[in-house]
This record gives sequence, C-alpha cells and structure tokens, in this order.
Amino acid sequence: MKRWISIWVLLCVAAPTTADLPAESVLGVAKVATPYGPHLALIHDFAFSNLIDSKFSLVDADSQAFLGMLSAGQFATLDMSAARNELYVGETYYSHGSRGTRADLVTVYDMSTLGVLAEIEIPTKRANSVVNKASASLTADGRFLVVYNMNPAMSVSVVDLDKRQFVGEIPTPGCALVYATVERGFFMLCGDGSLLAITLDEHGALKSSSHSKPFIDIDKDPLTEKSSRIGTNWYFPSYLGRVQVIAADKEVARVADTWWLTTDQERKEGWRPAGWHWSAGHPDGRLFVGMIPKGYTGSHKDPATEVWVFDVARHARVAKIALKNAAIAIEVTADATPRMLVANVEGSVDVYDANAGTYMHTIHGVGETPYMIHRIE
Amino acid sequence: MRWFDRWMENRARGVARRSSRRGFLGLLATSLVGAAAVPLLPVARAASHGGGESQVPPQSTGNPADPGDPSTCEYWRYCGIDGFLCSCCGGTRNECPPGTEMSPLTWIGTCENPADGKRYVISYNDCCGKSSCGRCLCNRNDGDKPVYRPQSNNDINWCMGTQSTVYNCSTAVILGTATNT
Repeated sequence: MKRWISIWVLLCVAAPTTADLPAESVLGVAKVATPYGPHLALIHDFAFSNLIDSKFSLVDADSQAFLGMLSAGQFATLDMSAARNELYVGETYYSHGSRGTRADLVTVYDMSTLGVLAEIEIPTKRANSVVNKASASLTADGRFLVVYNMNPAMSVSVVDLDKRQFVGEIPTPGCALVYATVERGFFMLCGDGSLLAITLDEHGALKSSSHSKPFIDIDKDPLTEKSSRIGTNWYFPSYLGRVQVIAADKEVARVADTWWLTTDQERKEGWRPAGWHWSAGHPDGRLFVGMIPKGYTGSHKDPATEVWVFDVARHARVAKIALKNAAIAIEVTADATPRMLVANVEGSVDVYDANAGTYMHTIHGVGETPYMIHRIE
Repeated sequence: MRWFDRWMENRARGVARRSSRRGFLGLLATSLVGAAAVPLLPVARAASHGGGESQVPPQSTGNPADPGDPSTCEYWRYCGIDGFLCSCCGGTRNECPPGTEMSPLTWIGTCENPADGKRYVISYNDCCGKSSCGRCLCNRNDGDKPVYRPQSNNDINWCMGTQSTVYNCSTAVILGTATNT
C-alpha cells in the first residue's frame, strides 16, 4: 500500500505543470462600472444596534453581487445624481464616537470609485430619525441638495452642489421633510395638515413660500410620509388605504385627487397599507403598495404580506403579488423589465420580476437592519 | 414559510397575548399564530420577554397599581415606545442608565393602565450619549403619527437638547392621567 501511495505522489509531482500564475500588483482597489445599470440598488442598513455606524450596500439585483459600500454616520440619508456620477450621503458624527463635537455633513461620493470627493459641512441640525427618503432631496435641476432639519425647530439647509458648500437655512416652522417638484421647487408636509411649497432662486436662497389649505386629517387618517413619485406626481397612501396625489409638475406643488386603494369589501376585511416604506412607483404609471389584512390602529408599520399593483391613471388594481417573505420596505427599478426589491423580515432582500410578480432570488448579507432600498435614479 | 418556521421555533414562547399590541419591529420577526389569526408580532416584543428570548431576568415594579414586567414590550406604559427598553439597559422604566443623559424633549402618548383602567399620559424620553444599548428592542405604534406631526411620532431620535444626540435607550415616564382620550 505504501509503495502505491509513493508512486502516486511521485506521479503527481512529476506531472506536467501549467504555467505559473503571474505575479499580481498589490494595493489594487476595484471600481464599479458607470453609469450604473438599472438593476443596481443601494440597500440602507440602519444598524439599529449600532446607530452611529450605518452603511449603504451597492448590489446587483440580477447577479446578487455585492459591489461595494458606503460607510455612513447615524440616521443617514442618500441621494444620487447619475448625471454628475455622484452619491450624496447626509450623516451625523461625533468627534469621539458617541460624544464630543457634533459634525453634520453631506458627503459626496464618486459612483465609480465609491471614494469621497467632498465633505460639505452643514448646520448641526439635520433631522435624526429612522430612515426616511424624504429627509433630504435634490432639486429637480440637480443644483441643490435640500436637507430637512429638526432640533426641534424645523427648517431646511440648502447645499449648492456646484460650489460644494452650504448656502443657507430656511426656517419652515411646523413643516417637515422634502419632496422635490420641478426646477428648484419642493414641498413639505405640515403638522396642521397642509403642505408648504417653497421655491429657491439661482443662489439657493428662498424665492417664494406658500401654504396650501389643510388637506390631511392627521387624527383620523394620516398620509404616510413615505411617499413615491411617478412622473410629476407624488403618491401618498394613507393609513386606512386612500392615496392622495400631490401634483408636482410646477415648482409650486398643489393638492390633486384622492382615491381608495381598496374596495368597500376589502376595507371590511381590514386590508390596509403597511410596512416601513410601503410604496414604490414605476415611471410607466404603476404604483406598488405593501398591504396587510386585518389592519388595526397602529398596524401601519407592520410588515406587508402582499404587494398590490395599481394603474394610477385608471385608479385600478392590476396585480397582486403574494410575498415570499413579508416586507419592511419595497422598491421598483425604473426600467422596462423592472425588478421589485423587498427588504424582508429576515434582514435580506428578495428580488422579484416586477412585471410577472414572481420571486427570483434573495440577496443576503446586507447588514443588521436593512430598512430601505434606493433604486438608481 | 421559512421565516415563519424559524420564528416559531425561536420565538414562540414570547408570542403576543393581545392583538392590539403589535408594531414595526415585528418587521424583523413576525408570524402567523395558529392557522386562522394573522397577528403580526414584533420580534421586539418577543425578544424582550423577561427571562425569555432576550435572556433578561424578569422584573417587577413592586407596585400592584403599576402591573407588569418593565423588561417586556407588553408592559402597559410601552404602548407607543420605539427602541431599546432602558429597564434592560441599566436604567428603569423611568430612569436612564448610568452615565447617559435623559433628553428633555420627547413625544407624548397615552396608555391604559390595566390595574385601574385609566389612561395615563406617558412621556417617552430617550437616554443619550452612549451607543445603542441593543437589549430588549420594543416598538409599538398606538397613536403614532407621521414625522410631520413630531410630537406624536416615534421614528424621531428624541435625543435633542442633550450634550450628545447618540441614542442609547427609551424610558416611559408617567406625566399624569389623561383628561380627554
């Protein structure tokens, strides 16, 4: 037996060899191909058990590849501009981790290298709340980033992305969050149930502001602040299942129509929207909404078990998607063969064919508490 | 469903007993209970059971008029809380852990005390200046409104007006009985 082993080892050693692998350069760092394909997405790990160190993971919804990440501070926000090839992260840090001097930043990243291009200091007032896409927004012209502040006085900080600097603060008492319209307009939602429409001048200073009449019954059926945009309309589902449209085709937004997502019978069965970020819009006019049966007072953040798809032009449901895993947040890519991404209750991301409504696969390892998905805009 | 099976296996001992107490952290582990009912149960509640899955020893207020275990998400004052329970983090239901700072700003909810049937005004003051406690995560959304009504919202980090806005845990302090609920 030993002799046979010896012969085998000898044969192995003496066997013809292939060429040696070439030496490789050290200090290599990968890049991401740009422009990003439509099926890439950024997953926000809120890191609830370690809030001062959140992150965004860039993944490919088709190949399931993990392409890179951004390290962010606490209660971070994300915006992006494919035209500028840049990502903008709003973040809050302390000089000694959990204490020391507070710094609030808009950090500018290159979409290819995922390296930092600039750190723009802003007033240490940026709203710190559980992930919300409307906590900051680019203006439609791409020139300014508007950051919602709460300390607890409410205001916005305006950042000039051309000059890479903070250019001013606009008080917005009683009004929160930022939803872009066109050019340099945006609106906010207010505690009296109205909206505040604001326009900026070419320097980022306040040009105009106006309140709508109150249109939200916050006590009886509030609109979720986690909204989705299709074309120039913003869609705000309510806790009970209406959807309120805000027309944003002019700089000054206006309150438009409202309609029910559910029939009388479905409402009797308790079907309501639910989840953390429970809606997503596709440019072709489809609104995807996470739904639960047997809703109750306080169920608006429960995980969605189904996604219902609506044609917003006809106010009609066109599909139901039963979810493999209940949804914390949903997103839909903006291309013609879209993927629906679901941040699920297991802490991973399920990918669906959004047209067929069929589950494809799951992306794992995107953090401790991945609560939000950002498609490529 | 796979998550259902796993959840049931790991969390079944902590299933919620009252269907009205459910919340967002159920997003992390929710489940069907039985075949008919579909209570979506927060892992926060399940995980926070004293002596249960969170490995936190049971607690008592020592006062029959203030019933329940403050280390569990079911404790009556937590009907609108969102975060780590300070009772599990070195503090109590109404005190912050040592070395942290209680935020003077907060949001206000009302909860019913099962001992006397009265509704009480509860102040959910956060404790600040150390990183996330990470124990006894609990979220319930009775009365929770969107961020644009901040005084009724539990998404906001209420570590404001403190030396550091870094969030550690949450308390539930009685301010008084509610007069108009």
